Amino acid sequence: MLKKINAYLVVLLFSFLCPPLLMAQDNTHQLTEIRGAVNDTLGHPLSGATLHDLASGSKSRTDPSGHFSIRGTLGSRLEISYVGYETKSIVIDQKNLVIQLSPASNLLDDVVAVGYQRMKRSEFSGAVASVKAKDLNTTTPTLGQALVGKVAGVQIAQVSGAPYVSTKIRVRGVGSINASADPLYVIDGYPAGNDIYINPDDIESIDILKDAASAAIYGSRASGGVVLITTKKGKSGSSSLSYDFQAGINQLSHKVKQLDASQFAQLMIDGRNNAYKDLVINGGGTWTDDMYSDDNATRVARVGNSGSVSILPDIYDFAQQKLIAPKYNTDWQDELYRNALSTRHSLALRGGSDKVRYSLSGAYQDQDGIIVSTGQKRINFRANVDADINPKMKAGAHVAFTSITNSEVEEGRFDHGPILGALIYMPIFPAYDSIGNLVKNQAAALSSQYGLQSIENPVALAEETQIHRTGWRSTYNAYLSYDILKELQFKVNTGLQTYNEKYEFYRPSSLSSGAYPPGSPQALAAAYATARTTAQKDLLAEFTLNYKKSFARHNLDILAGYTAQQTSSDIISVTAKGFQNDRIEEITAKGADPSNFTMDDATGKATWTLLSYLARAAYNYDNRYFLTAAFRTDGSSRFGSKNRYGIFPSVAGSWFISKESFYSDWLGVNSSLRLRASWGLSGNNNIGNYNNQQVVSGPDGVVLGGNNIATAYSLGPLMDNALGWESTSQVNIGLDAGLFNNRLSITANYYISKSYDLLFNQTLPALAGASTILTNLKDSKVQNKGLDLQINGTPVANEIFELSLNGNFSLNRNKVLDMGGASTIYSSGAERSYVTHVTETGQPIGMFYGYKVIGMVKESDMAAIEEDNANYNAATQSYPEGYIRKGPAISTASSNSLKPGDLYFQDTNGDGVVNEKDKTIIGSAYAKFTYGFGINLRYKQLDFSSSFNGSYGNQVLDGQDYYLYNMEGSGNQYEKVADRYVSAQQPGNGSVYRASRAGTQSNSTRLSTFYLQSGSFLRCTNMTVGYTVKDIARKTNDAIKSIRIYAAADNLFTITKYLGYNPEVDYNNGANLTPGVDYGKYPLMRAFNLGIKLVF
Amino acid sequence: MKHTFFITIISAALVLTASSCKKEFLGQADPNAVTVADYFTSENDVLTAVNGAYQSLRSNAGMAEGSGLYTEERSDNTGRNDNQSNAGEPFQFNDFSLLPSNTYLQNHWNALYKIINAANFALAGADIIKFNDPDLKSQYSAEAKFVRALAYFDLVRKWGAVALVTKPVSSIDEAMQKNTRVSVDSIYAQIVNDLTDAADSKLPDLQPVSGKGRASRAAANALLGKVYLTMASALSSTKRADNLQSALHYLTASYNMRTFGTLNEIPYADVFDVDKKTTCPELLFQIEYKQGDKDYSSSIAASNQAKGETTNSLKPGTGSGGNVKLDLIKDYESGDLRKDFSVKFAKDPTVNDWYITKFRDKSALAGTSGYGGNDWILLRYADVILLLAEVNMDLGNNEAAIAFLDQVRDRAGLQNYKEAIKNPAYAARYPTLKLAILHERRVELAFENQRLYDLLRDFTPEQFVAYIHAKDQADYGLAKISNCGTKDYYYPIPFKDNNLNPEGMYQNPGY
Repeated sequence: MLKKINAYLVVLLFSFLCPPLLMAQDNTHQLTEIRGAVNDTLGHPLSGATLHDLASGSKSRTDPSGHFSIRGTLGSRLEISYVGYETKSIVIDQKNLVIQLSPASNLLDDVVAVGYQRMKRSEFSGAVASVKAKDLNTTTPTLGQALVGKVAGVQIAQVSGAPYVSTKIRVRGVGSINASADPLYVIDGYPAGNDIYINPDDIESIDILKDAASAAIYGSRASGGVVLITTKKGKSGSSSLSYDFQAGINQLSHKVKQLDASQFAQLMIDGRNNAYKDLVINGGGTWTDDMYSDDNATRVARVGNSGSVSILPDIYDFAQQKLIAPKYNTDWQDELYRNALSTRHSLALRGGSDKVRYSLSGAYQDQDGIIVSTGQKRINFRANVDADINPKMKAGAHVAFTSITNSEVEEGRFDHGPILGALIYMPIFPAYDSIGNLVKNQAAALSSQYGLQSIENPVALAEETQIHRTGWRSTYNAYLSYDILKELQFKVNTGLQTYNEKYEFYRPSSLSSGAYPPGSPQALAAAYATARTTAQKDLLAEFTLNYKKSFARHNLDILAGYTAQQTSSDIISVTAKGFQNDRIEEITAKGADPSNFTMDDATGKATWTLLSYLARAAYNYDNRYFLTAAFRTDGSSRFGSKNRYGIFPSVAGSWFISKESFYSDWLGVNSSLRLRASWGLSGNNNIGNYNNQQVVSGPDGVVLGGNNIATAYSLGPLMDNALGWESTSQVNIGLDAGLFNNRLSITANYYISKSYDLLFNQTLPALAGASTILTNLKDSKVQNKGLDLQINGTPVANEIFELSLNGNFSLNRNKVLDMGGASTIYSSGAERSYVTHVTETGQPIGMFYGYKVIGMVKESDMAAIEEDNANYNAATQSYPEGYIRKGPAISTASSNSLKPGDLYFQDTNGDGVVNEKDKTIIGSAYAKFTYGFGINLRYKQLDFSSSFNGSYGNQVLDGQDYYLYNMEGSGNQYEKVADRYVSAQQPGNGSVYRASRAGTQSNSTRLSTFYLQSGSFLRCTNMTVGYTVKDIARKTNDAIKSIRIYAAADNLFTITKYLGYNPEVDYNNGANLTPGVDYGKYPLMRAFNLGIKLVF
Repeated sequence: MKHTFFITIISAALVLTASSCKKEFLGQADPNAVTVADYFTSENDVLTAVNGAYQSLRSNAGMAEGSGLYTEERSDNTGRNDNQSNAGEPFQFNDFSLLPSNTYLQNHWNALYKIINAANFALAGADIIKFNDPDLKSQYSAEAKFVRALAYFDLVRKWGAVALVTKPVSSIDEAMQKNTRVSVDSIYAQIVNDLTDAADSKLPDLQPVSGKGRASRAAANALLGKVYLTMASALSSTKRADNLQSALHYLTASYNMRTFGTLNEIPYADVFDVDKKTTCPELLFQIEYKQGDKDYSSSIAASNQAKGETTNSLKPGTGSGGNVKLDLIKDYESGDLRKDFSVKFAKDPTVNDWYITKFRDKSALAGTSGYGGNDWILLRYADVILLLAEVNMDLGNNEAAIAFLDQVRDRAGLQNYKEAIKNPAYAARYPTLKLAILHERRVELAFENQRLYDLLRDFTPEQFVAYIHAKDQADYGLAKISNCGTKDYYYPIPFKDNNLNPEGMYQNPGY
């Protein structure tokens, strides 16, 4: 017995290694001329239908009278396809064939993944969006990017151009306040597959479960939607080897317009002179314009505050009160960004015999980033083998491996990230000295004296800070199914996924530490290395029983299952200091003092477990009336002991109107129409591990008894031991229609969902010892309602020319219906800790919050302002009884009274002063709608495809404005700043306030409408032109089956008014309370690629 | 036979499933921490929790060396002139334009309650564990209560009525329910209880070297005396006499525990000498820092040092350092030895201003990274002695008061009070003994976070505003004296806590 099993395994193994041998007998064929005609069901000839002899690979098309001739093989299979009709496969049994094609019920006959099984789309009544391999922009480096703009109801945002970062995906809005709204990824049935680096070429299809009824089968993990990825499998009866090579150039997709050196220098002069004047007057002094000639020492002696009043002597002629043209004019963006190369090879071998099917693929991608020093090298390998062991038993294995090697860069604040740094660094300084070395410590050395931002040469920051990440992900998945009865199948699916990562960071002593120069003792002390190893392991076991039965017109499909999953992680993270030089840029060069080596907080182990029971029953009568009900219960270690199990039911139904006898082709001949409705409950368990257990924090240390360090423990933050999942209940109503022989298909969905028991970092009073606690807000409700619409059309399709168009449109409205008794939430999502967002009842989550700018002070306003100031009592923040204010309300936070060119804010509550109580909602990060569309053309051998996506009506809080749009002259600014208020004669464009570095009302840390910009955009995400070489199979005697060469551009152009790099912003990495903030993120790349695809 | 393959896969699945059948499969506990319920098992666990309370004192947002923003900058001693961008938030403190949403204010409030929580946790532990040595329990409890009293004393003086918690909070409901202001009297009653327990405990009168950084009976008595003295002015006048008597009693008790004769035995510079920090007999309670240690060292010497200066630290300064208001400089009498030790004028053209030199560590061990060993002194005998002068004056014992005052003046190289008052300039500036003592405290204890409390103790809100308004704006920097109003006698309740319970955690007037 064992022997036979071994023999079987040998065959299985053999099939991995040399699959073509298994095909050997199929490859012997003799070509003969086959003729015939292709008609539709009514006998009308079909012109332009494609015929494909699977054995020889030869292809042909029907002529306008529906006739064809093809060189084929008797006994082999012929595949006939035509747009809008079902593809048919027949055995060539004679030399003259008449073939009839029936109209395809378009999308509805597709098979879609719905969780734990695959169903015909027509049998499933939920809202599932599907994207097939051919519709993906596979020239992009990541799968997420390939999906941009393709799916209605799913917002896929390109928030970063880093080659190692994928897109942000949101399904139907945000239903949560604090928990992550990321979808669950399931790759080939494995719900752990957050493999963002999957090879796009391996994808067969992507199905996104959008409504809760569909997603509920994944229970407590499903409220962000479920993305089911199916990889390519081998097919019986054919084998092919394909090789795809692509090479390209990537560049900065949009350069930010900034001041040049002279404009910057003038801004600095104005900012310091205005500040000097304000400070002299505020200090009770007398001002004359001759004082603009005061040298820096005089200025400091008079008002202190060197950084606010001193001007670099090499840009300002004090005596003449004039600009001296700066010596350098460096464009720091040009210095930091480069044209980066990328190459990709992918090789795939797919095929199978009657009993064994295989698919092997490997890919190598080397993608440089546009920031010098960044990039990713990636290796993908995947093997899928499926075997029919006997008529009752099937088994298979899916093995995948991904290796990544990243060189990364720090993002965010300029003091460590070069991206914002390059926008702020002053153009008056050179990047390199005369012998080509990076010049460092220029701005930082002058920072305290001249108030320049204390910042290192951004090119040096990028090049000399070492950040590397290598990761290896392996997934092993084996299944076995057995037909206990004809109708009853038992299936067991086991899986193991491991992920190992090494992250290394080195900050060299060759960079300045604040104002201290490279190599100084302070720079040596600031140098450090971090090394972090992460090991993750995930185990999965699933057992399902599937019963399928049709009797008379009744069709029944019942699934029941039990699953267990365990995820554990183990992280060790250490940081070393005490580096004496940069000769060893590794943690091993740690200093001699043992205390220079510390373990970081990230270190630790964690395990979480999930135990579930699930069931689904699908019934239909006569393929006209469909009903599905599903149920899942999840027990999770993440939930508190008082709240361990969650229940997630759903029900869905649909009605095929077009199959009714009374339908009589309302929408035209061969049209179809279906109505769907569903309701379901799904959950969100993104609450982290152990958040239901209050622990003691420590050990920490405290110095006691001279120089001894004693061990100290203290009470950890308060935790909620009833912590549970958050629930989303969603109703979906949908319609599917196919018109004009299904050349036009429309899918529309309307949904309304309510999330409750919201996971919420509830604010605690300080006396609780923690500022927030993660809990479920009882009685809280967040609503999302919206519409998504997908339209695909193929107006023309014949042998010579084919045109197809697709479009999608999504709108979502988010609203907090009830905060469940919690108070309004104020959140800080940009620079420092100033409040930027508010979440309150009746409004969407995370609205921009601040002051409304209502005007700019003019010279003519000054008389009124001065009178107001004279009557204003600062100590009581009020005016005398009966006094009527003449000018704008005074801000209590202003340390500098209003001058011409300052902005003033709305006194919302009318109490005469602008303070905390006048802050209000000032904008929204949510789009009014988003959309995507594509145009695809084929003309003879040429093909063309394009895709676009866009967003309308959202705003962006440009957190960078804190530095790029503050008129201080402490760092470079947007070009728009040249149009600022200078004087009554030079009032600028009326919106940009005057230059100053001394706490004016305008530039204090208060968020106002001034910082908001329109985030609407339209982007061409991809354009591809391809050429398929004609008759290559015949010309090469079938050595090569096809050759296609193509040229593609990703992110070709973006139309937007946004001043920063990219209006698709996500500084807070998907945090729901603080959406729509931009701040020093990696800008998008534009890629030009050339490629060739060979099939053997 | 083919079923063997089947069995192989099934058994693989069972590896996971077998364990999942057990109930523990879903009951995962954090392997990296001890749950609160399981924590207290031995006397040592209480000790480490007491240490946790001392550790909570080390926050610069609370009462450690870097917390001058909340006291010195709020008074007339120090400040900052940069009102731009982020510096605008701390600028609000000396500018008397503080907003309830100020994040520094919120952090300060949070840090003080963190101290209270750490102390509450240790006290809860002391009640759970059965001690073999009852004296040990008394000591640990006394230490935790001393720390808790320190935090409440800061809170009640800065905000008035605040929320009172004396046990670890165990649920959200409890936290919300406790977030309400209780009267100033109740807060003082709690402080007095805690300090009375500490003063009567089995703690040593003064800590030996090995116990530096821990509370002692002398420290508890000193603090309790200061609390009573503050209560005498802050609370209703009916109990004023009692409070003054209690203040005198406890201050005297502390004074009598000293190991030196008079202050002039201890040179002023020795008090701040890093090498003498464990032996200087003047020090009553300090937060300790470890020289040369990147995590546990003090940075006060280096961070006060202005550009171009070398007095404080081997770490070069880059900015204006610890800025001193001219108003304080002018308050030093000529010949005061403390002036040259405490402040210096930085001549660098970008600074051109006074900076703090009171805290110095130029040792090689502290080095160019500025990892100093300066302890942060919360209580010392000069403070106690001047409080004794104050309470005696309040009780009408001017002679005794002047004797204590002269003890401090004597060490500073100044003539005694009775001589000084003959000097018309001195008499014009400090016409009353009360103002003379206030002045002496200012220069003796400059930059030690005492000045704001002295002003609040000595003056009513209206007197406080008048005192500030009487100053010369030119000596005050950019911060505007005219902004000062009676609202500034108290801090606003931080926005967040007020917002959680606008009625119970009501806002102070004027905000």
